[in-house]
Amino acid sequence: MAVEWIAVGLVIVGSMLGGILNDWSTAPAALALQYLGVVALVALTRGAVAGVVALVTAVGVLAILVAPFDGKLAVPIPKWQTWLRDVARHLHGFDVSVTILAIVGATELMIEHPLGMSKPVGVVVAVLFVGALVQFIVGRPVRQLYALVSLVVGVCLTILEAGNGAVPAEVLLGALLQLVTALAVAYFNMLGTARPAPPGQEGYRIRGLPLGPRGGDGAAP
Amino acid sequence: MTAIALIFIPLAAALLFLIVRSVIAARITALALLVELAVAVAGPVTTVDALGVTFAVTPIERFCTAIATLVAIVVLVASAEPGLTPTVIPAGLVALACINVAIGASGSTILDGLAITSGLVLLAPVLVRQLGDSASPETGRIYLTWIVVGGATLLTGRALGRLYAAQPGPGILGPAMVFFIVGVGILLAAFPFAFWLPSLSDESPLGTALVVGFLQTALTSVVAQASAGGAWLVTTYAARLVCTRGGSIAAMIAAFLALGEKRSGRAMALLVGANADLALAALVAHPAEARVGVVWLLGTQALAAAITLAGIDLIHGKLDGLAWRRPLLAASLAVAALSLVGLPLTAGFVGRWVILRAVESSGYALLLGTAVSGILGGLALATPGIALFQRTDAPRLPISTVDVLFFAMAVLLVIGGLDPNPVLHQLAAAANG
Repeated sequence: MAVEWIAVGLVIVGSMLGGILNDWSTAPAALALQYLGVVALVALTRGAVAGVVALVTAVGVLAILVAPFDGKLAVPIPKWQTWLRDVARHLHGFDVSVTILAIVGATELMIEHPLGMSKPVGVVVAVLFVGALVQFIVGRPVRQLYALVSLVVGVCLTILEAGNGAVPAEVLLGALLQLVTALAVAYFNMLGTARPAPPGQEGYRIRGLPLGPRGGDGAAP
Repeated sequence: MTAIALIFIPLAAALLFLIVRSVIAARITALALLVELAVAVAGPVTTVDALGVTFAVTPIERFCTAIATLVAIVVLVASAEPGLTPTVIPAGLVALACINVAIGASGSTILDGLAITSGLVLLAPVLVRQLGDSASPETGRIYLTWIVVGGATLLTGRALGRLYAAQPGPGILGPAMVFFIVGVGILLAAFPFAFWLPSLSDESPLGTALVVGFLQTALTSVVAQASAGGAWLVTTYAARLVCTRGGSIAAMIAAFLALGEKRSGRAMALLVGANADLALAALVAHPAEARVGVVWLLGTQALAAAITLAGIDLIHGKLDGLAWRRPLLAASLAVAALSLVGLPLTAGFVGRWVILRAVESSGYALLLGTAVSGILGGLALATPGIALFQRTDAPRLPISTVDVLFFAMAVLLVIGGLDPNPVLHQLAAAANG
């Protein structure tokens, strides 16, 4: 049981990182944490074979997202000190507070109403769904693309846990869905629709409403 | 075996195309699609169990697969027209295979959603890259987002339904139904959820033809199965009333918006949304009675939408004087567009008529919605219709293969409008078990 809650913690950390993404350099790390938690949970609740399928899918998705385009890595892998410094520099109070609020709310909801799943799995599903929703609403394109992958992972986990579990065809097609979603996300990221906000415009606004002194439009290229 | 063949023929063709990238490969692809069509129409009725799922081909599945294959042929031939960039054929073929998985999988309510979403997500890069007048990256991203959200909503509804079946209890079935209807609404581009379709059809009509054709045929099969289950759909009188009136009003608004739309691609998208509203409203309110009409309406609409949108892409939206320049293509576009608004003697009218006949006892809202949306849609087609016959100095072009193919498809829509009974009887027999 303790291992299951550690897996839940990994997914929560990954989802929180996804909620504060400013560019793609953090996305693979955030997704890797999410997937690590999901793979562990699947292996613990659905058995080794399902765990191996989930692991292979996770590796495939991450490989697609960091695969080189035109000889360059889609996501340059920074040194961890640099990466941590970048993450800290791009932290915004609003992003962090909304993400924490949403995740705590989702966790509380699923612990109180587990919806026919085990509590750890229910919490993970809720965190992935609500985290994706928050990333859609307050995020810029980079977070929205990240949210698509999270959403698909959440759906596949729900399907695995629904009723008596998924049949092999559903497991395979769920893996295919995750891979093609990653492929499409990587493609649109490469096209530049998920560019980071320009310097000096690292704040955000919702539908033209400036929030706070940083202002700027995160959704704009 | 028929269902498995329908899945593997496009996969094999895609593999062949990837190995042998040449004109011969494109011709073999076209041949493979013709074989696919023949198998869909005349393959033996069998069921196969594979990977825990039963694949079957009833007349409803045959109808859906045949329409999806016709759509693929239309788009393939249109994309081969000189002046257009080469299509990413393998992606389209794999998407067709995914759609056939969704149509054929009768033993799993979740596999269809997974297959539809996978196939349509796979097309997202193609829409932006090489399919006719390509969509902008931003529009492509919006398409991807809504397809994933729609697919996720549909799948969540399905998963909640499975949870409910395993652990009966209050509170799950209602949300499951709502998720299912919203998911289908997003994917069908029914007006309140049609966020992605108008922009996409404006920028990339050919890509939209493929997407709408595949989505609508696959979802036709999905909603036919769901309505057969019965338990999915609303049962209380008040909820039925709300859904019927809401769908009818949405259809009228969509047709009204099409009336004010100057760009033909966007107008066609709104008309597609209006039909989807009517179909969903009828299905939610009267699932058993309206099933055959909904299957017919959505299936024929998929073909009509594919012809109009692919045709618009072929001529780059320039309708002026098309009747003098390319009469066969102009006639095809006119017939398909009129079928979209349900003009009598077209297949689109038959779908609306069958639905209204089935729900006549309580379908006044639907009747009003159908009549008003049909009239408004017809008026919306007046401007492009006049443009078709405008005098032009441009020379008449020789009749090409694509003109003949489009005309043949339009003739199918007219035949469907004149004598629908052979197919309708088979669909009714399948729907009634």
